[in-house]
Amino acid sequence: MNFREFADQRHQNLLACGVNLYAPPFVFRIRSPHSFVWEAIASSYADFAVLDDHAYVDFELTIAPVTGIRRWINPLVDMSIDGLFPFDPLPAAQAYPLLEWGMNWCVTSTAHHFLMCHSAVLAWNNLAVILPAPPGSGKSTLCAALTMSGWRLLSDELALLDPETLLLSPFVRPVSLKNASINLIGKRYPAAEFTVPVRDTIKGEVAHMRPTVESVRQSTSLAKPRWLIFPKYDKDVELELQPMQKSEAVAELAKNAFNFRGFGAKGFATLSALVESVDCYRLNYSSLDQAIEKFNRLGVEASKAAI
Amino acid sequence: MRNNQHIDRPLLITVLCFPGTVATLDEAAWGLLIRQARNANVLGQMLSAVEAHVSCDQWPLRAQQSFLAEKNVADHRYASLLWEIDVLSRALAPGNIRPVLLKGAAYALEKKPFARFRNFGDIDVLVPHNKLNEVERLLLASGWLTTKVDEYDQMYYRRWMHELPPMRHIHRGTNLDVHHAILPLTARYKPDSGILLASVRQSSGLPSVDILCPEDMFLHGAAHLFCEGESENSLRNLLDLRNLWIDSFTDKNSVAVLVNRAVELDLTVVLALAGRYLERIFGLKSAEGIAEVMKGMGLMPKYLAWHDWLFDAVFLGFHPSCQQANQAIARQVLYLRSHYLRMPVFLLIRHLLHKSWRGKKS
Repeated sequence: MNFREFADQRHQNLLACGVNLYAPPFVFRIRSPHSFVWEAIASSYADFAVLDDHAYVDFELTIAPVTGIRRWINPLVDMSIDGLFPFDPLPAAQAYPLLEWGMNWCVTSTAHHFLMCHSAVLAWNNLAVILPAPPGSGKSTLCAALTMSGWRLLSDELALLDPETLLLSPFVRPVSLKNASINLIGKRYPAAEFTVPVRDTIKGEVAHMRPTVESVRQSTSLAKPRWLIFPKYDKDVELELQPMQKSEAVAELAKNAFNFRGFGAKGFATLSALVESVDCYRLNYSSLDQAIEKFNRLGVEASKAAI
Repeated sequence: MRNNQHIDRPLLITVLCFPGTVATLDEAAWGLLIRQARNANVLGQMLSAVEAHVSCDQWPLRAQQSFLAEKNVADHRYASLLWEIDVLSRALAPGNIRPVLLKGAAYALEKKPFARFRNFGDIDVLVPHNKLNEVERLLLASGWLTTKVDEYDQMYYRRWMHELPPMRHIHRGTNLDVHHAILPLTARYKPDSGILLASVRQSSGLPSVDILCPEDMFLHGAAHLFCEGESENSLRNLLDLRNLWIDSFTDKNSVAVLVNRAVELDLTVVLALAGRYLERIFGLKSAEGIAEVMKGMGLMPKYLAWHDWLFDAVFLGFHPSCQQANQAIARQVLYLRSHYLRMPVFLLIRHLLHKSWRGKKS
């Protein structure tokens, strides 16, 4: 059963008991008494599977009002992740973004069977492009635009790289958009579905875009890295896709890899092997149209070469 | 009082006692086991114990991946720790000071098998009290800075505690606790550091540093576990004691030596508690030897069973699936108890008043 059917059956009260959300490769048991959290999940995870009680659950997240006076006056919510509280309580209105950050934390703090990089990942016929970038470089906006233009979304935050096979595991989740990007993407792609924007979070205004049905349908198929592109949005620049030296790309990618230090020498060997196997570029762009066109051309050329 | 009252063990503890039971678990139970272990900070240790009984190709795929994840970070974490200790010993070498490594760092140095997957929060070392100034000077010169800038905090540590204010390395971020005793100067029990230091031995892993003798290593672990209020790692610390016990104390003779050492170090109460909970939580029958020997010598403290409602609550774990009604209050009481054991009441009141006043100010 997917979340849309589940929600239609008015199982809303079940969220209070816990719902097993399958966001491959992980299962999250999510519990919350807040109906607006339920509505946000129902919007952004509509096409995801809900699993029954016999499933293997990786993480248990509970978002609930704090006890004491802040339950009633300027209410705060607290998130428990398997009995730990890694985040400070936040205003109740931010419960859903908090849940999304918590789900990311679950993975980045435990899933060391992957080398994990902070980057968006998309694929064209199972050939993947990795887009590592610091916040503010326009990575999520570009990622949302490519997703809505026919690229398959693997993740807007996390590249999960298997150190043995060098294949990327999708971790399809709603795309987190901030501030002006929300309107920008909404206007360009009327078909895009968003959660109700939440204001005044630590990242400003935040809304989550539902991933495309096709991305969710393929959320267990691994992709082969083909390009490593460091994007940078810059107002008024002409689009420029500049080849990048591999040594520089390894160093740059290492800065974006969450568990690079924890892996020791194996981390370095993995990143080097990855960079060896892909084309590396820096991308400066101001126009999404130009950028999408460039990506599509790369995709088409690579597919032709593969035949 | 005998330990005959039964307790319901959470899945994690059952598996730590009888690793073979995983053969009967379904996927959902496996998931729960791993979540409980992660909460208690013993995931890698638990899975490696299980692997010795049930080969990991029989586990659910996600459990195999969790083990792989632990392995990927364990080896480098272990190597980094040994490297950090080596650097530390070089920093102290100009003063002819041999640090004595304590707890996790010592287990790793001695290449105890259980240390491979153990998490290390910080590095703890013991040095002679009369060398403290020299140690601090040499460490500062190598980039170890104090983390407490508040004047009262500095005074609190230097006057009353058993360690310098915690330090952190300016570049590497590693945390270091420099002890001159294993319990606070003002504490109820007063183990003499001179006795500890007289029995240290050279580490087999790194000749430039020392470790405590096996009895003292066990007693220090017990003192830390039963006197400090750090309840979130309680189960992990009890598991350490079980591993040390199985290493060194399974025959009667060695238990007698251990009890005599506890008498010398004023640690008979914590040893009695260690024996009680090793048996009660992990079903370790041989640990009853502690009570037998202590009774024979007329040393057994009364009212030990009174502690059960406190310690059961923390040893059984804080995962939502293990929560007990008295857990929150037991945690508070343990915190207060640790302070009560740490300093005399009038000092404690002064300290807590200062902290609450400062809390209001900020």
